Amino acid sequence: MSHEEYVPWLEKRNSERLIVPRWRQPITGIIATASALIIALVTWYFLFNPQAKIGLRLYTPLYGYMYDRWLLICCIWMAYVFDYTLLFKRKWAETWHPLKKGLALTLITVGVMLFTIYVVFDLILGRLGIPYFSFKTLKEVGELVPTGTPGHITEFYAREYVSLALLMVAAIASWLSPAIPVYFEYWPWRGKLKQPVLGATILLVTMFFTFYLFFVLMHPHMGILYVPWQVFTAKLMTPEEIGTWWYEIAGTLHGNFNVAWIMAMTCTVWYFESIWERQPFFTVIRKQPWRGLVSFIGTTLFALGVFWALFALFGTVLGAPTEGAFRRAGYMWRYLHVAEWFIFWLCGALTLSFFFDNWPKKWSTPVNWVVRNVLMVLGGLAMAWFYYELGPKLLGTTMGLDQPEQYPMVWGIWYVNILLLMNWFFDNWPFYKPRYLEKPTS
Amino acid sequence: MHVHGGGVSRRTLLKSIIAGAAMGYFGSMVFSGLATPIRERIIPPRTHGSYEFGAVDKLRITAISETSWFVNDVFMDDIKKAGGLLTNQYEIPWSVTGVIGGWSKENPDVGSNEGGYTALIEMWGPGDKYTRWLLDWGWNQEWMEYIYSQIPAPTKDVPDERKIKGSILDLIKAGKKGIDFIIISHEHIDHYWGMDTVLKYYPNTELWLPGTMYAESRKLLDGVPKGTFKAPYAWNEHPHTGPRYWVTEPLKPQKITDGLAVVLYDIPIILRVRGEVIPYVWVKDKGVVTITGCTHPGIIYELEYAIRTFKDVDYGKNILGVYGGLHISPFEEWDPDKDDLVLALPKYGAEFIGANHCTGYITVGKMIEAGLPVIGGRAQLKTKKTWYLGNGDQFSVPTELNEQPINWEYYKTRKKVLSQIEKALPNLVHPDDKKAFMKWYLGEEPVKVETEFTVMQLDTDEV
Repeated sequence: MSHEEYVPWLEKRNSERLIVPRWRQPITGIIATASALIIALVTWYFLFNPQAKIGLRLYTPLYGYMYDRWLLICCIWMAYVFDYTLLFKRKWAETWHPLKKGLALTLITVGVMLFTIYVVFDLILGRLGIPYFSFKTLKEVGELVPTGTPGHITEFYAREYVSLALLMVAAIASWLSPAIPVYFEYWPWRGKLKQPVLGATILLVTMFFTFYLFFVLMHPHMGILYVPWQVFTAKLMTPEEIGTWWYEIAGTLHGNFNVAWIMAMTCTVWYFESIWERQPFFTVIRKQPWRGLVSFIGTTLFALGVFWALFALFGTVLGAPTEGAFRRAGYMWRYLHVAEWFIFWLCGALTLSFFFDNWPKKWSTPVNWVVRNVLMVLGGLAMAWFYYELGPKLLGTTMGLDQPEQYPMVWGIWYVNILLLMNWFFDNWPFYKPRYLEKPTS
Repeated sequence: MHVHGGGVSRRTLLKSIIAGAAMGYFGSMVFSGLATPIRERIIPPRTHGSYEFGAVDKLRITAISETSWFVNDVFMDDIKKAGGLLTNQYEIPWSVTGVIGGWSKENPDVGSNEGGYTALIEMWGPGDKYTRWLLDWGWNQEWMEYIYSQIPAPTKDVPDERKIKGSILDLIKAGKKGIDFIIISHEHIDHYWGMDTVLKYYPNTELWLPGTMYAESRKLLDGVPKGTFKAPYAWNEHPHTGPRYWVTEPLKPQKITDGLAVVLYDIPIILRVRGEVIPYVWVKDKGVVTITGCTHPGIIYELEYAIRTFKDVDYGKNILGVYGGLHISPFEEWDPDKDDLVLALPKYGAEFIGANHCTGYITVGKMIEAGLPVIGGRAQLKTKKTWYLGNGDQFSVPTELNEQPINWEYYKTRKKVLSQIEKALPNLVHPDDKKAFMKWYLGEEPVKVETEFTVMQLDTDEV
């Protein structure tokens, strides 16, 4: 198989229009969007809603947040990294009915997620290496210190801390894992390795960098969670300096500073892949790896620019952030809330791309690009309005802007997850017709 | 269809890696190099306020009950089983019997896990005026009745016409003579559900409440039979018949009496609760004291609010102290932003920290270590540690008003505070803030730092 011959399924499906709207647009898009919202709400109720009469109430908050993020990264692994060859066959992706395929892929992806969380992390890494990766180990360690004594960790918080560590890994992975398929178009292995070896290679490389970054960006945060600070295993203190390395930059010791800018990067990857249609960088640079590098750097600068611009905007609206303050007055909340806006916009971007065929396409590329971005922002505003206005009734959240234990991005990511399942696994069925079933493809 | 790269030579690969590393390095330099200046330049500086609400001459706070729950593991297990921190408090089946370390009338060490939070505040002035009010009314009705009956009603310097011998419970029974009004900070279980114990003796008490409370909580005031809600203790058999003043406008100070104003912070809070009212008391010639239920908005936010709203408040100027729950590590949990708080708090120059309840042992331990002026207690009536003002402990301004010795043990470490302030200095955001802080720190305007223990005339002999 040469590199020219290898075209990932999603790229093939979209470029050859192998799925088409069942009705004319925007009718199909509106129905599909409304359906996605309803599916997200119903599944949220049974899985996450903290006020649900029947349900798992996983939104504790971090325990559910962790599943939310890991489902996202497992979807990316399946569709982008492994191109439907992770415990599945590419041929099935091209020939099975979307319903059958979607159900199978969803089950496999959830299985991979549970395996990763409970075997790779909890059973092996957490129980043999790092306690904050294992629910059981951290609970046991926390109980070594009697309750009422600084250092004791309750079972509830042991689970929350482990969830936090796991979701932080997922946050970095969801930025890096799609980078090779999207920016570098599987370079340097495209055409040289076959799936699933190609996917496994990308997985290993991106997870290597994920863990590397985790220990730089997140591990110091984990070291602060315990009493006393874990100064021998995390760099938190020297005779000259106190705090995490980003303290001077960010004004907070909290790792959410890093989570926030990583989320900005992650979302920008998907703006780039969806409504930007990899423009403008893929037009300007045509040869890999320069195309990938320039795209990566370009989107990074864009993400950081918007990140700081939004942060400044919050400062002008809410006043100067204050060292040591909580909620809207504090740095940590401001950073995280910036990231939450990126997620709201992502909801808009993916909805436009998945259900409205990336409308518009009739004007010049720059005009289309600008219009889509405007629509993305409007979609993000709509999602924010939905979350803050209707969330207390529909999601079981508490009224108000800045509950420290509430993360709007959990809902945002859940909606994105539903979009990914519908589009990547179910081929937008039944709102789109699978033409590939009518016309067999090789 | 995208154009894909061709085969890659080793040379190209190497060049790419070098270019990537260089650009990554450049990007990170841009990122870290520009971040701080951007932060400093774009956001607006703090403003200073002009609001005045009078002053009292003297203040005494009696911690009636700060033990809202007795065994944290049990409390958190109840929350975990119910679905976590965002679950509706009225839906949680709290542990009410057989808890080892809990409390019951029959056995002070076994029983219900629930206690409650309430404090008695007395204010003298201006002139002959004497005001006595309760902050919150606790949770477990039996515990509340018990603890009210265990703590003597303060009598030192109380005007004769208001003097009542007996316990806090006798003050409540005395109606208006005993208690002028009650401020409810927020609708959380441990601050609000114990109303029946008060209302059965004093149903027409004057109430100040957050206007943001959920419907269930409003309904409780009018009487709710046992068993209506899934959660135990969420009942009230004695409807409130007195005046109710809802604090409805967020972040607008509302004066209740001379020297006492309340501010509503409209914020979402765990266990599906909304809004907290924060009382601020101004002591003449000394400054402002926050007297709080849980400080869910965050103590720094509240002190910043004081700087931006009240006249003549700044770092180290007219910030006298804080009392009450600070909601930092109530569940024996921790997070780096809580360390942010401990590192930043010294610069406000509070003269005393009477933190208890949901402040958490971990936080108080760190505050003591950081040299903050923590007032200790006696660890009695189920308060487990002497690290802070516990059940039955008092703190007064001036301290001669105290009817019991003050535990200064942890206050002594305050001398370390200035070095902590120095560490916090680079993290002040805006250049104007730094200037304001340096003025205070260097002993220039607005306040001259004369000694390590300044502003308030504490019992320095005892210190």
